[in-house]
Amino acid sequence: MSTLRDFAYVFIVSDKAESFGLLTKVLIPVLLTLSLSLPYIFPGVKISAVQTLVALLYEVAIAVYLAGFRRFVGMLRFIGLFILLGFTLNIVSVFMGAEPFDPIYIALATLRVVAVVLAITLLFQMLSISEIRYLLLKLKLKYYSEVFAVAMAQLPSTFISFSEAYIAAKLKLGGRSIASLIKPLVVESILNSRYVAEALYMHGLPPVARPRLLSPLDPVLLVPAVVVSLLHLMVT
Amino acid sequence: MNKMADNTSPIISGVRDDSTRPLVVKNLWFRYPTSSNWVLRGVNLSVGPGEVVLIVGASGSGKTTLLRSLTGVGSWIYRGEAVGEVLLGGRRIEELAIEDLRRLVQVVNQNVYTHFIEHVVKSDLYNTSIAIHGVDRGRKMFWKVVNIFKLEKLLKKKFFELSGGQLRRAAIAKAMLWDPSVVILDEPLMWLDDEGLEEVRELITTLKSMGKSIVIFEHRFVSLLKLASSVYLLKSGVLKMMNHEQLRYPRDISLKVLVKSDEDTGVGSLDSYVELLGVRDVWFKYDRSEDWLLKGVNLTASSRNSTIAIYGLNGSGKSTLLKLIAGYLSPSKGRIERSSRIKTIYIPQNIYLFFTEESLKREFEVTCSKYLEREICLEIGVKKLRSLGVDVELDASPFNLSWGQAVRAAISIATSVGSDTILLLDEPFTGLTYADRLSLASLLNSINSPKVITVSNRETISLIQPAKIYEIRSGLLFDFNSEVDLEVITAAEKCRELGM
Repeated sequence: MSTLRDFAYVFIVSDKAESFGLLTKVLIPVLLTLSLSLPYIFPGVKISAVQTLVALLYEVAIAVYLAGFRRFVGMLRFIGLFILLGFTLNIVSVFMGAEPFDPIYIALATLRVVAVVLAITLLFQMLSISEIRYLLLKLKLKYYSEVFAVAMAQLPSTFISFSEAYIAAKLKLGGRSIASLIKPLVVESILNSRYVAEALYMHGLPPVARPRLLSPLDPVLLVPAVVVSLLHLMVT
Repeated sequence: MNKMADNTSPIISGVRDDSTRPLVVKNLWFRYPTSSNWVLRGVNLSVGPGEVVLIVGASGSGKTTLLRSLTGVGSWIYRGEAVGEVLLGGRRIEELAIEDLRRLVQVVNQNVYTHFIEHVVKSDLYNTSIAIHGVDRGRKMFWKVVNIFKLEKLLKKKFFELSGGQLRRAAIAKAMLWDPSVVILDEPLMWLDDEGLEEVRELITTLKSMGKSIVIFEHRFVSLLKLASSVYLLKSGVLKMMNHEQLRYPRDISLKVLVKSDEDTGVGSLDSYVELLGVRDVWFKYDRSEDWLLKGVNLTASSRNSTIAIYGLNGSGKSTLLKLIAGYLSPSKGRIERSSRIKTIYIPQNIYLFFTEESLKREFEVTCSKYLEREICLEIGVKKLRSLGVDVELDASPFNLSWGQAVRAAISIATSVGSDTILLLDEPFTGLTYADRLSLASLLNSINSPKVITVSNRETISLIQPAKIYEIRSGLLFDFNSEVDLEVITAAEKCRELGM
């Protein structure tokens, strides 16, 4: 339950993010993600271990500041899924005939994946639903902005339902076909959507207020992010 | 509204024309596009300023459809056919633009989570207010509503962190941003504990003092009777005014329905007085930084007929205790011992989350076939379902059952694996009419499986007889003395007589 609750909070904006401007909140994850993804986009580019570690430390510091240590651990669990997936793919590829990877290379690649995913997770920690809707509207994606708002609003109650369905299914089925718990959750979501439609009918969607673009506190977060992102130019 | 072309068209008969009243319904008929049967059959209703109209009725009586018709949702979202008139502020509902409609009538539906888009309460309400009234007036309206409904301490919270009563308060406040003349509350007491109930009663009093016309649809109506200006019974699509005293009048009540039956509906065999469950000095908290939710809880279920009822307000830790017993959570300190001879089945508060299969038949097969042969499972299943009054086909989807049927079906499925089962029921009476509560209590009292049942309101806990009843408060378990609530029993008996 606790794990699930912390996991749900990965997708919920932190109160502390209010102090920063929208531009900074978008730029930080985008800069970090792009700089760490350079080797994937341009195979010739190399990222040093130092840069990956510094980026990771910087992200951890922001995540702990925004979400608190406990919820940061929840984020790590989320990221752990990606690590597991990447590790499994590496192992499977060896069995499929690929050349065995250097363990140090695997460790560094894994760290980089963690840093990229953590950067993306920071987006949810920093941007409110209203701000994401604002960005989507600016990108002329009005329909998706509305769908996104409704989906994100219902996410917490879906997580609450998940734990109930999980216990019921686990005890009833004794661990067999635990995937069956998807069915009640889907039905619950459909039933819920009727209430959502009725509530939207009565209230409409709240308008998207123009968010604050800049804040005096922005340099505190933004300058280190720029330095970390450009570190490979300095180190390599 | 659409005129009917066939012979079954209802005739709009003479009803007093009172265009000054905020809500007037004249001979309203309604049916859904998927059926030729009318769900509403000539409903008449008139609600004046400051009046509270309480509408009661059994599941399937048409309450939800009436509610949908009063706002136009029935026609515009569900594409139903409506005949007759709904007048809001003297204007026919179909002539109103959506913005005008929202300023005349607001609904707070039973799933209040769906009213919020922004996670933080302040953002959601403030942005809505600005959208309705513009910046200056919107800001004033927002703070006015915050003050009236005492929301100051809730503004920074996220809506899913609020208690049931607080959530209802925030949702009603959001509706009031429109300053509507009519407020409709759909099952406002759903999921609420005794404190939440008091909170909603206060809210209704506030709305009444503001001169709002209030229409309430509620199963748990006893505690609202004193607030109601008039009470209506909706039965088979027909609305009939009731006398308050008809639902309140004390009578000689037979308590035989609550007396435990000796009938063994299970197939297992456990010796009496064997300890089945032991909760030993269990301490629990979700996070290190939080206070203890449970502080040294001790509990035993020591015979196969043992029933334990735990009463507590929302957030008191009773659901957490069930999850610990279920093995989903682990105690921070202490231990939980379960007899290896018994199975544990958990029936959640939201009953539809219990079901995992597309038909009742499959439910019985997947649940019971681990322990018994498939044919025997089905035989037991049918017998149990019928004995509990669920007269639907085994091929029926459990998700299409009414709430009351779903609860009974879940209990049938849970007990089909034998009486060597501990049933963990989290607030099983939620969402049930008084008559259904009485039936369920009678049913639970007759099942020879040990049970741990959580309840958040006193009026229901007294129905579980005989049971060892505890109150959970401040993380501790206390013995709880409960007497049968005759007012609730009276209401339940009356509901049975009235067929609701």
